[in-house]
Parts: sequence; structure tokens; C-alpha cells
Amino acid sequence: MRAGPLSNDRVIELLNAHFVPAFVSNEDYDAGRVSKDEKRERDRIWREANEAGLSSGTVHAYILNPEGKVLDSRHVAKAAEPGETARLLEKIVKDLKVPAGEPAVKPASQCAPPAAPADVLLLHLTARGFKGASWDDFPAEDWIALERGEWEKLLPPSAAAAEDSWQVDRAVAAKILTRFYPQTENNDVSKREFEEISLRATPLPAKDGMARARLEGRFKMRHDFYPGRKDGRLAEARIDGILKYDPKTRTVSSLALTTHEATYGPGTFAVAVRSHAPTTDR
Amino acid sequence: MLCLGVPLAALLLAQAAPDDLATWLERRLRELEPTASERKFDRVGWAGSILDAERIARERRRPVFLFTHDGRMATGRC
Repeated sequence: MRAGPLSNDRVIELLNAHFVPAFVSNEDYDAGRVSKDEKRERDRIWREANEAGLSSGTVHAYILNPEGKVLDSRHVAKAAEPGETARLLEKIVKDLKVPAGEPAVKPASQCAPPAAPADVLLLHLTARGFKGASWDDFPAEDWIALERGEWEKLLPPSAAAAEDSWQVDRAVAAKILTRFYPQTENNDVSKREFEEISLRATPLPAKDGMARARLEGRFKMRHDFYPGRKDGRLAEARIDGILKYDPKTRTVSSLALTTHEATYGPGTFAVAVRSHAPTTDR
Repeated sequence: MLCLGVPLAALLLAQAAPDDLATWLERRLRELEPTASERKFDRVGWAGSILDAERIARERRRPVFLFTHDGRMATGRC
């Protein structure tokens, strides 16, 4: 949906001018991360659509009238057909005589950086698969938050000479690399298994008063495509990047990483990571 | 060395001068990061929940468009 109708100019115009749009992830409802009232309402909509003889299911688009009554619905496959969602929205606007207006909710990034304390190093990750499947229609994004005790371990050991290279702490490397996989239905990284992981920093000449180190490494980790289905797939890649830091204050200025020769099962992928100034929550 | 199967890109990268590496890295990140076209989804004003959407719908006398899905559409982890 996101790469299809929800990126279509006409659909965006209709949603903003005439509707109150919402999208929800069933994971949040099934894992108890929403209120009981919210879950009850989602279930009510599903049930009401079914009872009305409309298409209903977990991955669906639903239209409700201003009182919450289900008026229409589409299975995702139908909704994604060219022109289908625009036609549905136009029909509703016409039937209900909904006047055009400003967006009911101000548009905002749906992948904005999370609020974090000022001493957290936020990393924005982009992952792209290159299999040509619908999964690859738009990239995956993650935010990785490294706390002070973690990003400090990216820095050279206090006793190291200026020219010495150093191995980045394995746990910190793992926290970053655990999200190095393309778009897949499985996104549970809580039981991550690395078969290989290394990340080494080598000093580069300082620039603009900032110390720099080249980061090089590689990893190989198990990552099943679907949740709960062991398929033996491995994500593996070489890693290259640059760490900028202030050796006097022992703070990280920036971190950038990317992959090359990255493979996942029969396909290839690539990852980009860039540090981001945190939006503080205090 | 190429006949030993070492990929050319990796070879060139390994020998790159620091500034060349920085330039290459910045270009690579820009190539991979989401484009404006891939973020058109952000141009929609999304309500934060079903109950929020229904409340606003009652206030504004508008219908609700609701998409329920598995995974994480907002981040592409779906």
C-alpha cells in the first residue's frame, strides 16, 4: 500500500482534503501495546465489516462514516490495484458530500527520530534489498540509540597510542549490525545469532580539528525471512565507515557506515547508517 | 589480484585515500537513504490511532480511512 496508493498524488490529495486517515499495526494490538478500548474498536470494525457482508480481515482498508459506522472496505490486494483506492475515496466523498478542507492532522514524518537524552548517539539506518520483489519497493528504516556507555566503546582505549588501531566492543558492534538486513517480514532481532562479527577502527589523519578513524569489518548472522519459520538464511556483508571523534573530550562527533558485498539468501542488499543529533526529551 | 577473485570495489576501497573514502562514503549513503519520492507517504496527515481518528472524524464531520496491517509500514519493516 505504501509504495502504491498511499504514494499516489490523487490519493494523498483526497485523504488530506476529505478524510481522517489512520494506519495501525496489528502487532501493537495483539501484543497489548494499545489500550483495551483501542483494541476493542479495531475488533469492532473488523466484525462490523464482516457482518455487513463487506470484505474484512487483518490487512485491509476500511472506510467509516463520521459516526464510526463501516461503509466500505477493500482487501489490500484489491486496494493496491491501479486506481482502485482513488475511486473508492472519490465515491465516498461524492456519496457523503464531504467538502474539501485542510488536512485534519498536520502531515509529519512517520519515521522521525525518537526522543532521547542528549548524551544518546542516535543512528539512522536505511536498508535496501535488491531482489526486485514488492518488499523492495521502498527501503526499511531503523533508529538505533547508543547510550553513553555504549558509544564510548567506539572510541580508542584510553591507553592507546594515537596510531594504534582497535577492535570495537563486540556487544556495541552487534547492537548496530543486528539491523543490517533487507526488508523482510521477520523483524524480531531479540534472538539474534551472529556466526561472525568484527569491527575494527584504524586512525586516519585528523581533519577540521577532529580525529577520524576508518571502521572496517564484516558480519554473518542468521535471519529468517518470515517470523517463526526457520529457513537458514544468512545476512552477511563487509562494512566500511568513518568515525569522527574528539579524543580530548572523548565524545563521538559522527559515525557513518555502509555495506558492500552484502548478501541475504539468494539476493543482495545494502545498508547505510548515519548518526543524527538527538531530539532531547529533557 | 583480480584473477584471485577479490572484488574490484573492495580493492579500490582498501587503497583509497582518506578523503576519497569520505567522499565515496557520503555518496554511497546518499544513494541508499530514502528519497523524497519514497517518503510521499509522509505527506498524508495521519491520525495516531483509531480512537483519535474517530474523535477527529466526529468533530470535523469527515469519514475515516483506516488501514490495518501487519508489520511496520512506516519504517518499511513490514
